Amino acid sequence: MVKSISTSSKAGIRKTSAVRYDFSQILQDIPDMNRDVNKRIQEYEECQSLSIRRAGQIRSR
Amino acid sequence: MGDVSNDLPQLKEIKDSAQYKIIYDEKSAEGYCHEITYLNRGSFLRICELYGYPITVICQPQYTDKMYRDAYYIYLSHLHFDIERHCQRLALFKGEIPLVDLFDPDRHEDLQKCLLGTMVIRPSYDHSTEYTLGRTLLDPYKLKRPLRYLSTARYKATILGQTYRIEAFPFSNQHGDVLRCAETSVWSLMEYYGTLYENYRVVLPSMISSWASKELPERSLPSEGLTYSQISSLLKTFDLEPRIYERGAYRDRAEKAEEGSREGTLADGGRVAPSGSEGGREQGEVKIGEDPPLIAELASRSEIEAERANQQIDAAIREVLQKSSEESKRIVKEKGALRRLSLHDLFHYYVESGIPLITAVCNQREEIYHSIVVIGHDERSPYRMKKESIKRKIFRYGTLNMIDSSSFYDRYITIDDNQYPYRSERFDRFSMAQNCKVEAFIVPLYKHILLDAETAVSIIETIYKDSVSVLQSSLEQLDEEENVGCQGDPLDNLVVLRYYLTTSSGFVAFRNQDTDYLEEKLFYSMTSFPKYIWVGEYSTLELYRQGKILGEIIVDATAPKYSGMGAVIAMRFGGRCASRRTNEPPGVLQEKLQAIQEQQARLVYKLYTDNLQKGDFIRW
Repeated sequence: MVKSISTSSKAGIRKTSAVRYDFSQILQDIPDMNRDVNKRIQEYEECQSLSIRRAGQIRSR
Repeated sequence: MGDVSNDLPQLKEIKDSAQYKIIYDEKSAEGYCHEITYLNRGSFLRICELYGYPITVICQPQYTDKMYRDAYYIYLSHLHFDIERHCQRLALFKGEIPLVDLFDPDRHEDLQKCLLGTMVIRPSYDHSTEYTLGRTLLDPYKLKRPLRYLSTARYKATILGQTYRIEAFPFSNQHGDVLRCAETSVWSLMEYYGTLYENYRVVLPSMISSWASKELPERSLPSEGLTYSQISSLLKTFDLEPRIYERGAYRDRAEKAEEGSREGTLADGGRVAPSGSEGGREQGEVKIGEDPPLIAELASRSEIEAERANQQIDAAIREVLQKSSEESKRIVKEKGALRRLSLHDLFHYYVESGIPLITAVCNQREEIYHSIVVIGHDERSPYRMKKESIKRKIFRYGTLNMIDSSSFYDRYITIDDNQYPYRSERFDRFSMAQNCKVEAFIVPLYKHILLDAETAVSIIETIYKDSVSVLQSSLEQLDEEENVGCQGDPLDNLVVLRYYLTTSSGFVAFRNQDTDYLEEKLFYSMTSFPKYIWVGEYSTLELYRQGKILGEIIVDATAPKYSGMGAVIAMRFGGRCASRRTNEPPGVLQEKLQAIQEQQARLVYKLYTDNLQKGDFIRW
């Protein structure tokens, strides 16, 4: 049976909570966040290229 | 089957032969090994023990196995001494099954539940019983201790004229001359993919051998094994898009963090690097005796990175001094740096995604390299983990202590062609001797997946890192509504992060099935998802133990590598959900979340389990 949250009074699905959510921090500075991520990706790319080179030396038999 | 005499001469003939046998205990299993030529005693006894006695065995002599027959024609038929073309196939049923029942269609569904699987026994050239287990399909969900978190496909087998289904991951001993462990791993993987998905095909030894004779500088038979580059190239010919991870390149950060914390270079639980210590590799990671150009390259890179790190420290100090306020110090401290992922983290994300990994393991002396396939993980272990060992793996973003769910797992399910199927082995204690470390692993990604684990997790974790107050609010709400928040022990308030790759269709179906609420169903069903998505779930330790979560961030796995926040599709925090359309910028997610007045979804819901956990859901 399909129910609706807007008409439900069960615990855990309260329409309004005393706790306030401030979403203003989320994705606040996207260029800055992208810089952080890209910097880390560049590090991983170095690992990736080393992995490819070294994989040629691992022979399993 | 009505009135059937068990004394029919034909039935009696079968009962007196090795074609039908009830194995009651280890002694009768040993006796059976003497009756079946080439049956390896050790493997058979172990398999019987894992499933538990009694077991009814049906042996089909003169069985044509496509894998063996293919190997026979490309190699064995050219040998001087005789070797049979046919194999034998054993079908194992749990319990004492009367022979006549196996012919009774009315008993078929009951017998289906009892079927444990099939094992092909290959002839061997030297008449030994070593490595004679051919294509083997055994059901891991029917073991005495059933395994639940692993990948399996559904196979068909015809036994005494009745067709049965077998849920299994394919296994075979290595053949030595035709298929070494590397090629056997590829065979096993493709046998799985080819059975499960229509886009892939099962492969035969001749296909691998034919590729090897074209691509390798030497003869392809007898096989000398393959390098990991060659395995990766081979998988590409079968339409997979592999990624290779090598240990030296992805040094396990947990080991390094311990060293770092002793040296006082790491902050907050020893896992989070301070913002000034950027730069990937320490020079100590390079082994003495490796090729000189590599050392030179690493040394110069290390210098460059050290210089970069110094510049970053200088910049951070200058910034703090310039602003010279407590607020700016707080922001620097709280934002911190993004955690670096260890080899084990990455390994676990792919296992959690239900992708079988071809894994190179080597012993401590680094003289034996062996390939196995890792197909899942053993039970979650936070129940068994001591508080001290949990504490060691904690990292901190802002005011919240966090832990990666990968830290809870150290046992993985392996398909090792030197052993028997479905061994549960500790990470870095793999293989028969249990002393082999992971040296590299290959992830056979599907076409169109552009974001690898490290990129996707970096994107998701950057958002979590900057959303500490939102996570904190959902913990407070949890405490308020469900009273399972922090009860004095800070470990109860640990935020558990869990990452995996999955198909959007499976994900949406799971989320829809998990809820009765129309708002939630609409949210997932009406969001436009690509075929593959990365998901980062968050939970508390206590909720995670119950298999529940508080929220998730969903990222497009088919997005370009440098798309950053542009890859984010949807978010759910504490019953507040937002997603973006394909023509909307990522910033719209913040606006949509901010605009939410009323909770549109449950605060607590189920963690996604459809990548691996099939045990509970199999319906015959």
